[in-house]
Formats: sequence, structure tokens, C-alpha cells
Amino acid sequence: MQRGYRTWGPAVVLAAFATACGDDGGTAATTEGTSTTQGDGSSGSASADETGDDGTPSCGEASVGPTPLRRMTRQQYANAVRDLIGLDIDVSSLDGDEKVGPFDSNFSAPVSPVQVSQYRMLAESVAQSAVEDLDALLPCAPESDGCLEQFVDSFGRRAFRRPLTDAEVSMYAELGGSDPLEDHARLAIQAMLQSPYFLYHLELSLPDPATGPDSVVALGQYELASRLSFFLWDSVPDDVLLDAAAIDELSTPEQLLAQAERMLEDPRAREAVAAFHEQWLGIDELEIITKDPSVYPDYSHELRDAMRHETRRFSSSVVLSGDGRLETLLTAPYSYLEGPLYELYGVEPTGASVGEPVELPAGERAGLLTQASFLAVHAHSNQSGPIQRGVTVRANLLCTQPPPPPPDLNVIPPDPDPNATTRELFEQHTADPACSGCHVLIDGIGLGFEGYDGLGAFRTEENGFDVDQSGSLVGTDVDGEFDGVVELAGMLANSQDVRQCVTRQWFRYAFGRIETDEDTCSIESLDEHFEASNHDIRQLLIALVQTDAFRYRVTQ
Amino acid sequence: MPTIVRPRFSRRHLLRSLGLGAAAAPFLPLLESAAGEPEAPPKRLLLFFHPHGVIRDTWLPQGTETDFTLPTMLEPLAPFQDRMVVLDGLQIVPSGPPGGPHTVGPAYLFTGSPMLAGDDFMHPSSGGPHGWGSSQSIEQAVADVIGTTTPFRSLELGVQVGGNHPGSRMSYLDAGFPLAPEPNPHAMFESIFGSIGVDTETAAKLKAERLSVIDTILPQLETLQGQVSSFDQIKIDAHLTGIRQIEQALSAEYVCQAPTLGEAVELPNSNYEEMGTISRQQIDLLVDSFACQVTNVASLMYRRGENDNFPYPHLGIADSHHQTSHAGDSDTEAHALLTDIYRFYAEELAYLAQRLDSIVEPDGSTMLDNTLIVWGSEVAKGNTHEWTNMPFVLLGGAGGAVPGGRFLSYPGRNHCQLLVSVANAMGLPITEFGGFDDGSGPLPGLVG
Repeated sequence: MQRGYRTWGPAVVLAAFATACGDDGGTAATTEGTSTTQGDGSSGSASADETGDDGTPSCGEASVGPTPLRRMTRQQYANAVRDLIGLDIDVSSLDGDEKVGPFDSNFSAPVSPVQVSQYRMLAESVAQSAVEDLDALLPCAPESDGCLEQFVDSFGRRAFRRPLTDAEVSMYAELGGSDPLEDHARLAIQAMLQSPYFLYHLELSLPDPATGPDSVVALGQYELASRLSFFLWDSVPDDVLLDAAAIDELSTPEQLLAQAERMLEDPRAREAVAAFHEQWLGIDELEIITKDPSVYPDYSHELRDAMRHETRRFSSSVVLSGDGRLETLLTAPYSYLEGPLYELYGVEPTGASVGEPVELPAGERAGLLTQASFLAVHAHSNQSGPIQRGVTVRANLLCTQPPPPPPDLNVIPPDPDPNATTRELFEQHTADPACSGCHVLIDGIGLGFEGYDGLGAFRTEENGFDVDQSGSLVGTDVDGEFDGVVELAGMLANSQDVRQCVTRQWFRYAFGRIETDEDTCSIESLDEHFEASNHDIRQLLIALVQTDAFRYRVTQ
Repeated sequence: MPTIVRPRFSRRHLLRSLGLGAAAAPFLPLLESAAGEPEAPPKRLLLFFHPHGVIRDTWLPQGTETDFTLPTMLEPLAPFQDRMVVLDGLQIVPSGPPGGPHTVGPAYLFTGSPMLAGDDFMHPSSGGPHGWGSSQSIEQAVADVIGTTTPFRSLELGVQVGGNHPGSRMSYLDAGFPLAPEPNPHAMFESIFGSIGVDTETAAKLKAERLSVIDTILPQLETLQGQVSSFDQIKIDAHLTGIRQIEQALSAEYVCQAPTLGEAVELPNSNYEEMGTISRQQIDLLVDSFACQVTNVASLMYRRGENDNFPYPHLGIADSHHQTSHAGDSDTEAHALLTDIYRFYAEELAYLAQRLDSIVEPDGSTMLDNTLIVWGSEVAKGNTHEWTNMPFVLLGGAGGAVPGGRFLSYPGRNHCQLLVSVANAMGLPITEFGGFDDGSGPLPGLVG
């Protein structure tokens, strides 16, 4: 397999950054003289001192925006328990995750007492289940000498993503007093799963005292191991990663690249890639939406799950075992179907297993935007959703936020009318000049989705009228007319705006925050490497773990 | 302030009475001073929220200030009209970063303050960007004063409130610090009263285990307080507060009959059929928590401000509430559905009031008499999202501080004045509250 980035060492990185950000060479040169260690506490980071007149930093030194302390997401908790104990657990008793953009993050609001209490109850129930098969849990014969300490040591290292101190091992091993070994193991798990070292993405590497309180510092080895595993696996590190951290083998971009390549071969990477796409496209909302049974009697939990599974399988297969290309995600004429999805798509079941690709009806479906999960989530309970679909494409794929409707405007969706198509109703609805200025950006895309009803079934007729699925893209680098989403997807697949949006979305997913000016060099290097790899998502992920934003943090 | 005697707790008593119906759970009045004289019962404050405003025609009473009839929506509250104040005319006067009205409304409602600036929330349909609410909500300001002597300073309960988002939070401890409500009555029960259905010996063992686990967590958090950035300090502090709350609950002693809850129901977010069941369980738990002196401050949030895009199948309503709430003013069919939805909330509040009223305090008054319930919504009207003529209802009276049986109109008055009056009724001598406050003080004539 071609790995064009193996030779991408530090010297090449600097050269690339200079091209990306240093084109205003004169300004950069004059600001460099006044750079580095002013540390007056007022600027966002040390790199802010190097800001050029155009607001972008020069790329000679590591630069990164502030990363707030994040709490583990529910999915990360579930994946961690799966990897630590081998249990599949239900995490719905935990409060929902706070999002940044479309991505689960938990980066802003402090935890509420109710949430801390939910952690207690879940930890108790997981710990109870974990010790039901003590032989499977423990790394040693239960009766053997020091087995409990050995368990605490190995479990704790993975749960906390760092070695435990001797004092910590004793503290956890002593829980349970004179009770049997099973109780000790249970309480140790119960306590560790409630520890802040488990629940938070703690990054505590200290600034160099010489550089002041606001400085850019390299992350510690264990912190990098944790970043790698939560980014690429959405879970805790394995022993290989922690062993590498222990001997400083996560120090260079090449070492991070090698780990990333190894990790992307692991089945856990499929979970993370699927999670990204589910959140990016808003499909995680499938869990809570409802459909009006009088309009869509076929909607069931089975169909809902099949929709969700399709997007998860499709995205992780394209990225990790296919060609990895963004264009393929948007235009592939195949997908992964199961159960009632065959009927919804009008595809004769071939007897293919759920893991095998199935050819889709030509002209009707291709790529993520024609998948029922996307179409059903971004629709009303009783009709399609041209506005939601248009807004989502603009916000999530083009990274442009249409302004909200003016506060005094009546934004009532028109009632379904048996004597008209949805297009006609919505076109009338937004014909008002007060609306049409923004709606041309939204509806031109959204009405192009009219070939799919509120469940995502393809249709050529609505209420006896022919469906018009023509649309137009306005305000992008690939503007033009199109007929249906298959054509739209083809245009978006060639859009530089979409490609740059995708790099930013992956950045936001990786760090749980919005990029800042200090991240400009990291972002531009991602754009360049994405371009150079012919828009291979896999290569984008590998490039991402080598950026400044991944390897450094700013202390506050 | 009367000294509140720390209630004692009999776990055996509590456990033995599990299984009794809620109606058979009277409050045991044991708050007596050394002299044997009953102390004045504590005042209690409860915020009650439902989404998307009201249909004004079926909400607005007909008649005069003291002689008025309740229309369809409010009719279920008629038995408590003598302890009820209907407030018309108030408006929210927002400032700060704009956002979707359903998203920012829940924070505006009880904080009276703008959203924080920031790019935290950029949901496609909600506008923004903005951050969380920028200030404490009114019941937390009250809890600062009257919540310090109870095992829980406040309880936040929710019924299908949705995700971790400003549209799903109305209670704020501080700027940027929303308080998540517990959607599962059985989880909250266990947080307060301990494990359900275990014998005394097991209960004692569990308590000891939990305290020993807490002893491992506290020093870790204390160490981290000195290690994280100043920006992240509040997150570690908050976790520490949560752990101390667990510790305090484990050590609390209550003297009261055991609250009882019905069977646990499945609680995936989409289990809308069970909304009524969950609501009644949360209300029972809330009333029993007041009775057992678990807390004197609480909030109960139904669904969410951010697009309650869901049906009410237990009312036979399959349409999405939010979508229906956008129907035009002449759509009588939609208005009938919406009135059914809002009347349901009035019925839940009536059940809550009836349960509070059935509990007699040591001085002969009822718990309802000493409680102040404030009922509001994040917008006045679903189809325009307007913040004029906000529909507020007060129930109870905070121990005579808010005389009932009144229909008051305060056209154009800033709703922060209501928040000031609420605080005054609860004994806080403040004159302004919230970032929207225009310095007009409390609502004239509301608190007697």
C-alpha cells in the first residue's frame, strides 16, 4: 500500500508551513523579532505574539488554540468499559453529551450533581457485572500471590491512561477490607470508574517555568497515547500504546504516524470513523425522532436501526477498507443494506451478508446524502424536509452557517396538502422577499432532495403530481444547476469548499472544539495533505495526529 | 430564620414502608423546638416549566382581579384558585448574543439574563452562536440562602428534557454552569434515599462501601484543583461538589414515611407513551422530598424548549408539538390540540398542588400554603416566538407572602421584576435580579 507520508519529517513540515502561512514574508520577518516569551497573560497563547498583520500566525514555532478540559462522552465510556472489561453496557442512564458543532464533546459546562450521581450508579452496576466472571477479569490466578495488586495495576493503567503510583495501587487494593477478593476487585473498579483520572481527558503537562503561564507545551507521552486512542478508537489506549509512551516512542511525527497506521487497522477504528459520520451528518438524532404512523406506517425500530447501521458500515468501510476518498463517501453506487432497508430502497435482497456491499439503483442513490438515515433525520414527522436538508448540507458539508430567520418572522412549515407537492408549498412559503434572500442558499439545495420522502424512500410522484427534484447550488465554488441528489453529490465531491469543511470537521471532532486563529498552521497543513492524497480521509487522519494542534497544548 | 432541626432518618422504617401507596404516606410533623412549640414551617420554592408557550384564548382568565373564571387550559387548577395568581402582561426584554427563541428562552426565563458570548452553540436551526446562560437562575439564588441546611440544596427533575443543550436547561448554578435535571425518577430516588429493595444489613454495607470509594475520589479532585488551568478549575470544583453531595446524601437522616414510586418504566428518550407515568413519579418524588426535608428548592422541567418535536401519544396526539405550535392563529384544529397539551400540564400541576395540599404542617397550614410554585414557558406563543404577554402562574403562596385568588396584569413590565418578587416572597430582600433587569424593583402589589 502506498504511504506517501512516511517521509514527511519535521523539515518537510516546516517547509510546508512556510508555504502555507508565510507568504506574507515581510510581516512575518518583522514580527518574529518580537516574538516568544512575553507571557503577559493577556494573549491567548505564546503564538499570538507572532501574529502577522493579517491575523494569521507564522508557522515557525508550534502554535495551537486553547483546548478546554473535556469530560468523556457516553460512547467513550461504553467503549472504555468494553475494552477494559469486555462488557457491552447501556449508557443511556448518563446525561447526554454537550456538543461542539455536531460533535459530542463535553468541553464547556461543568458537571452537575445529578451527573456525578449517574456516574456512581453506573460504576456500581458495571463493577458488579465485571466480577461475575472473576477468572476472565483477572490477569492472574485469583488465589495467586499479589493477584489483586496486579489487576489494579494493569486495569488502572489503561483506565487512567498512565501508570498508577504504588500508593494508588495500595489504595485501590485495600478497598473492601477483609472481604473476599471478588469484593476487592468490584470496589476497585467501582472507584476507578468514578475517578476524575478516568472520566476526564486530563492534560497536565506543565509549562516551562521560563516561558510564563500562557505557553505552548508539548503533550506528555501518556497524554499523546490518550489523544491517539480517543481520536482513532473513541476509547482507552491499549498496552501497545502505553508501552510506547513508557519509553518515549510517541515523540516524533513519524512515531505518531506509525501508531496511527497500526490503530487504523484495528476494528476499534471502525467505531470511531462510524461515530464521526453519524455525528457529522446528525444521524445520532435518529434515536429520538418520531414519524407520524398515519403517514409512514412502515417506520419501525428495525428500519431505524437498519438506517443507522447502513451509514456506520458504509462510512467505516469506505474510509478504512475502501479507497478512503471523500468522493467515494459522497458518490459510491453501493452500500450496506439489511432487513427492511432493502424494501425501502427497492432493492431485491441478493442474500448478501450485512458486511457485503450491495449495488444501489442507478440514478436514485449514491453516497451518504442519499442514505435513508440522513434523509429521515432531516425531515418532518409527516413530510420531507427541504429546509432541514438544505441547512444541514450548508452547515455540515459546506461549513457555512445560514443566518437564522429574523426573530419576528413567522416560520411555520406549511401543512401537507394533498393537492400540491411539498416543493410547491415550500416555494410559496419562502417567496416573501424577507425570506428569499437567505432561502435561495438553503432551498436551492433542499428542494433538490424532493426525490425522497420523509422516510428516505425514492419517489417520482407525490400526491399524483410528478416530483421535481431540480435544484441549484449558490454561493459555493461549484455553483450550478442539478437534477436530484446524485448529481448534487457529484458536484459537492468536486468542491474545494466541501473538502476544506471536511478537514475542519475532523479537526473539531478530534479536539472537541472549534478551531482558532492559533490553529491556522495545523489546519492549512491538513488542507494540503488532504489535497495531496487525493482527498483520502485515512491520510487526513494520519496527518492530523502529526499536527501542532495534536502534539501541543497551550497552558492557561 | 427559624432553626431547622436536622431530620432524623430511619432506613428500616423507610424500607419497611416501601410498597405502600403514595397516598398512604403522610408527613410526620417532627419539627418541634425545644420548648415544644411547632416552628414555622419552611418555605419552599418550585419552578415548573413546559415548552412552547400557550394559546392565549384558552389561557387568559375572564373577569376582574379578584373575581375571575379560569379558561379551558387552566381549569384543572380551579380547586386551588384561592392560592393562585395568574400573571399577564410581563415581557422578556432580551439583550446579548441572539439565538433561537426556543434555545435561549429556557435560560432567559429564570435567569433573566443574556446568553454568554461564544461559538459553543451553532445548531443549524437555533441561530447563534452563543454560549450557555450567563447567570444564576432565581431558585439557585434562593437556594444560596435557604438550601444550606438541607441534605440537598436543590433538586432538578426533568421529564423527557432531551440533550445537554441550552434548550434543555432552565436551572443555572452560575454563569456557564447549567444544572442537568435527572430524567429518571428511580435514579433520583436512589440518589436521595439509597438503594431500593435491599435489607438493612445490605444497606449498611453499601453505605460503608460508597463512603470508602468517595474517600479515594476526594483527594484526587483536591490534587487536581491545583493542577488544572484557571479556566478548567470550575469543572474540578463542580465534580467535587457532586461527590460531596453523594457523601452528604449517604449520611443524611430523614424522619418521614418512605416515598414510594411505581414500577420503573423504560426511559429511552423516545418513550413518549410513558410521559404521564414518568411525570407522576417525578411529582411524587418531589413532594415526598419536600415532606422529608430533603430540600426546600426544586425545579421540574418538561420536555425541552429547543423544539419539542415530539408527539403526546398518551393524550392521543401523534403530531409533533413544535410543528403544531407553529400553526397560524386561525387554525382552530391545531389550537384544540395545543390546548389539550397545555391542559395536560395544568393537570400535572394540579396533581402536584393536591399532593402538597394533603400534607399538613405542624402549625396546621398545608405544605402547599408554604410553597411557591412558579410556572412559566420559554416563549409566550409558539407560532411567533414572542416574549410579550408571557404566561406566568404562581401557586401556593410562600407562607402567606403571595396572597392568592388574584388575576393581575402588568402590561409591558420586565419579567425580571417577577423574579425579584419571587426572591422577596422567599425572604431575600433583593431589589434587582438578572442582566435584563431595568431597575424597576419588584412587581408592585404582588408580594403582600
